[in-house]
Amino acid sequence: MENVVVNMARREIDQFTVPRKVSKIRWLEGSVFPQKNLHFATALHVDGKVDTLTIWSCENQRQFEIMRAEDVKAGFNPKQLAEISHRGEVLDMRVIDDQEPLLVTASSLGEINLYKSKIQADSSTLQHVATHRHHGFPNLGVAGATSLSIRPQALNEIASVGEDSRLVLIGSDNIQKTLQRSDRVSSGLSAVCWRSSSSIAVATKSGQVRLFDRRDISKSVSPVLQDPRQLDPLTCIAQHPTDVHKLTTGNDEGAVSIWDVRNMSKPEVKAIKVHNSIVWEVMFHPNQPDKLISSSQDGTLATVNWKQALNEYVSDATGTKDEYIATYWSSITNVLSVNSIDYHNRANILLAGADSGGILHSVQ
Amino acid sequence: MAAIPLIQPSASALKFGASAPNRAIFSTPTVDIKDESSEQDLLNEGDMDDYVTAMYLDPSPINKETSAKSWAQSNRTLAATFRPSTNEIAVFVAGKKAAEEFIMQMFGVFLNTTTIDPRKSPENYKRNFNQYYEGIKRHLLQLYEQSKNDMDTEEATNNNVELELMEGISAIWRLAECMFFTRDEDKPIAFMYSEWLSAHDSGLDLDIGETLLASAGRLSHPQFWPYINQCLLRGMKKSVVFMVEQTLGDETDEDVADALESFLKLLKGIPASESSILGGKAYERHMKWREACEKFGKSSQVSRLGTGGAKAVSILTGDIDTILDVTESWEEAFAAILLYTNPDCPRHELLLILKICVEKYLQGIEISTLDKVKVSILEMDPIKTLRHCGNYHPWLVAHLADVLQQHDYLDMADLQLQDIAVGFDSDIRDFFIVSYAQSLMSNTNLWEAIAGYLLKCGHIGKSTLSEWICHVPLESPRKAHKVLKFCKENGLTDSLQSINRVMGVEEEKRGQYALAIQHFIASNDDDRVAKVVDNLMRNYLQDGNLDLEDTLASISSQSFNRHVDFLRSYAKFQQDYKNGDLRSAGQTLRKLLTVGKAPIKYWAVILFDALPLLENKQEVIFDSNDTYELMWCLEEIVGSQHKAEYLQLLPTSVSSATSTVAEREQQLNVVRLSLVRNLARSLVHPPQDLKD
Repeated sequence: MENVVVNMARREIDQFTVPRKVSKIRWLEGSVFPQKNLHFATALHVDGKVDTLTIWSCENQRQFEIMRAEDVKAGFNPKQLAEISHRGEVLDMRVIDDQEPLLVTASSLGEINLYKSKIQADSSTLQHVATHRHHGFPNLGVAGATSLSIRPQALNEIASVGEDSRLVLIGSDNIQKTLQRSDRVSSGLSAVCWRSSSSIAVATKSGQVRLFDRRDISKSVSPVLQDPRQLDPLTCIAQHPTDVHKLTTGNDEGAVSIWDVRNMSKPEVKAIKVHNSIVWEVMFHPNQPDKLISSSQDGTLATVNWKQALNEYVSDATGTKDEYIATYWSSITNVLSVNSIDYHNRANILLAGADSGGILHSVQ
Repeated sequence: MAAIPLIQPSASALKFGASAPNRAIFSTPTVDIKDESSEQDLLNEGDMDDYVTAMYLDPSPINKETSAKSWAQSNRTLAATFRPSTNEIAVFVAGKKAAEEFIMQMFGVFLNTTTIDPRKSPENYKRNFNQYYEGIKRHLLQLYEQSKNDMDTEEATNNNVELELMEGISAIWRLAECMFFTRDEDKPIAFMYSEWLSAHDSGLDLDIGETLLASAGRLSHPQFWPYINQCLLRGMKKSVVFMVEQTLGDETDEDVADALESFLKLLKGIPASESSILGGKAYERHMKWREACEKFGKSSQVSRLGTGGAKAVSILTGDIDTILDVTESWEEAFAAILLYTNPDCPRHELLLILKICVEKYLQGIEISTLDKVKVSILEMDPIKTLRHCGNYHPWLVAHLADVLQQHDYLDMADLQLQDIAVGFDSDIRDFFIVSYAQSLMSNTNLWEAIAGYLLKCGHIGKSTLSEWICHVPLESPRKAHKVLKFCKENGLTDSLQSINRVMGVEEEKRGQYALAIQHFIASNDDDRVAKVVDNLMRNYLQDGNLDLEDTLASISSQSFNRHVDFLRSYAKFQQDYKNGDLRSAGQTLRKLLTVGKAPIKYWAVILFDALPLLENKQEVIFDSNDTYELMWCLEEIVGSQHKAEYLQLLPTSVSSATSTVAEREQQLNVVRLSLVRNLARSLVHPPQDLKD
């Protein structure tokens, strides 16, 4: 594999521990900020047992100023507000932020589930609203729903992909309703994100990025994006916060790539080998989009400056300058997979969930 | 050797042909199964239903010194599984599902420390190593909290058992740290031991101190001198000085006050870690202080303090008889004798003091495993320590063995060490870590930790892991992905192939052909790849709907497979033909037939595909040589004894499922005619620049 190798700067990240594997973690940012308390949701997993969704609250130490790392460290002692069991393993979770935030989950049973959270000072609740199976094989049983994404701005549609290699569009106000369903894509689909309110991108297990037009998702818009030098399965995908043409993907071998959908033949930057194993989630830093944040099976989080990598890539066509600075974040007691990340773009706190039960947290 | 009876269906395994070596368990190399009946008895056994027999493990994981209760308390149980495919029985020590959070966190610390050489990066090692004790303390706190919450529930008993066990582990670990992993130059053991005793033995009732401070006639209080003496025995200088200062302030009798003042002066000179340096001036200072204590003991002043006061002074002078008389446990006596007779005693010279305490307190009684471990540690006998820790808890012994080995305490040539793990073809550290990992195996939620431990245990660990990981349930795509990745990254080739094969079959059932092919390629299962490729070809030939190109784009071209290569070439031929690039299509078709890419059963189909190229009026696509080759292929099919098989796959446009072999062969005459016509044309108008 041709990858950019990155120089390492390793830092310690603080950890709060829960007695289960944290498979997904998402902030409930809410519409009001600053808040006295910050809230986030986790999907907790124990093999062979029922998964649980949990809402947590942590004190916002400095409500009117930018938080400092030591404030977060001192004040990060989350309290559990509400908990509910979840059918099947949670493979993805997203939040529709509202007065009463909605949690949308994709499960290993191929179901999309909707939960309503009610966060109040005295009592908080997490209530199941609806469940519907959208992925499966006729007569052959279950196909897990591997990833989902909420349509930006309107928030009225959910795109989900599954082991059945189909992309499905679902109405968020009525998740029983399948709006559209794609034909089967021969390579398995691993992740999905909305590029804009009219276009959807999916990552495949054969290293491709396929684009779909929301008006008709039966077939992907060809040609597909594929890096001829990098055919490892893609595991995650995310959209740039401001540039509609840019996407980032993470792959099975620990590399992240930046794509410009106007240039289908190769990614913007050579795949950057950030991690030593599967990249489980990748995202552009919401406030500094020239940085990528990623989490990996190798037990670390990383931030890497892809803009710097891009400049080097353009100026050095021979590809010999292969070293860029990335910062790794790991906890001394966590050596297991960091499954999920999310960034609170107003409180500037990065959260991550790990298989060791660690909730890793840091100001970025 | 004591043994525990097990009920196993192994007799039937024997009947069904399991050879003797196969009957040896594969997942716990520590024990071998011994059957009460002889093999001959079993062979002569007439009644097939009578397959239940008592089995024993030899050596038994529970030995004479371990009661069944302590076995259960240490969270261990025996589990067994029968493997029908090989008639093997696996018996393993399993752990109950408990303390997962602790297990996972300690696994993280283990991985961080086991890879660091304490001599090369001492700071880094220490930082990680300290996490062991930190983690134990954190877990203890959680257990205290849990016990408090569950005080009135049925869980209370279980919690207490676990709490007691964890307190024991905590005490052992800290003591081992003091003895094995701290140097004399860092801090003399006398002070470290006193601190350890205060932290891990709750013999001193602090409430008494509170009561005494609140009482008026403190000196005449019956608890005053016992409290002072107990503080002295444990080296709690600050507490005892504070109490005497308070008492002195309140004392109205001048003589007594004088005596107390002199006593206080002595107390302030009690050896303390900050003032102690091995040898030299510190030793002289200590001797002078002792002389002063002895002098005070012989003076008339001491009588004003009563018998309690006299005992206190005797303790300060290091009088062993008095110390043994007033102490309540061997640990307390050891702390006091060490502190007041030889505070700078090096770690490896503690045996004499230890012997005195053990003889007084442990002679003639049944010694608990916890006490045995503590004594072994103070003896600085790593082998004995491990032997007794092995009876205490699998977590403890595994991690202690790891750090002892890192600090060169375990000499593999030592026969005593070899004796612990009889029949285990690896070192003792691996033996204990493998055993610990096996104790966790019943809880697949801990699969990462189990796999991680086994991976760090040489070939024995890896072979155990290789066998076990194939049985980890793959409940979700994410877990399957993680397990596969783990196998790939750690070179577990056999397991990787085995899991890939299972997943390939699953994907094939689901009609995910591209994914199935990828899994089968990864599992090196050429036959199954061929089968999936056949399915794809048949589907394509039947309805022509399958998007071959799309499917092939999903299969990594980096993992070469001849069947996939054929499919790629065939798809390329179809694509070139559709795009009107007939020359390229012709070249690809010729290669398919002549280079051996296409299996012979597809030759007839490919020859039919060649018809439009052979009959192309605009230009000659195949030259005479190509045409001869195609003719040869045609004759190979119709002249073969397997003709019926080779003619099975004809396009639906020229034959039906009910067509006979003769009818199918007749259809090929069309191809034959075209080939002849093309030969004539190619001889008259040879094509230009066709060859690559």
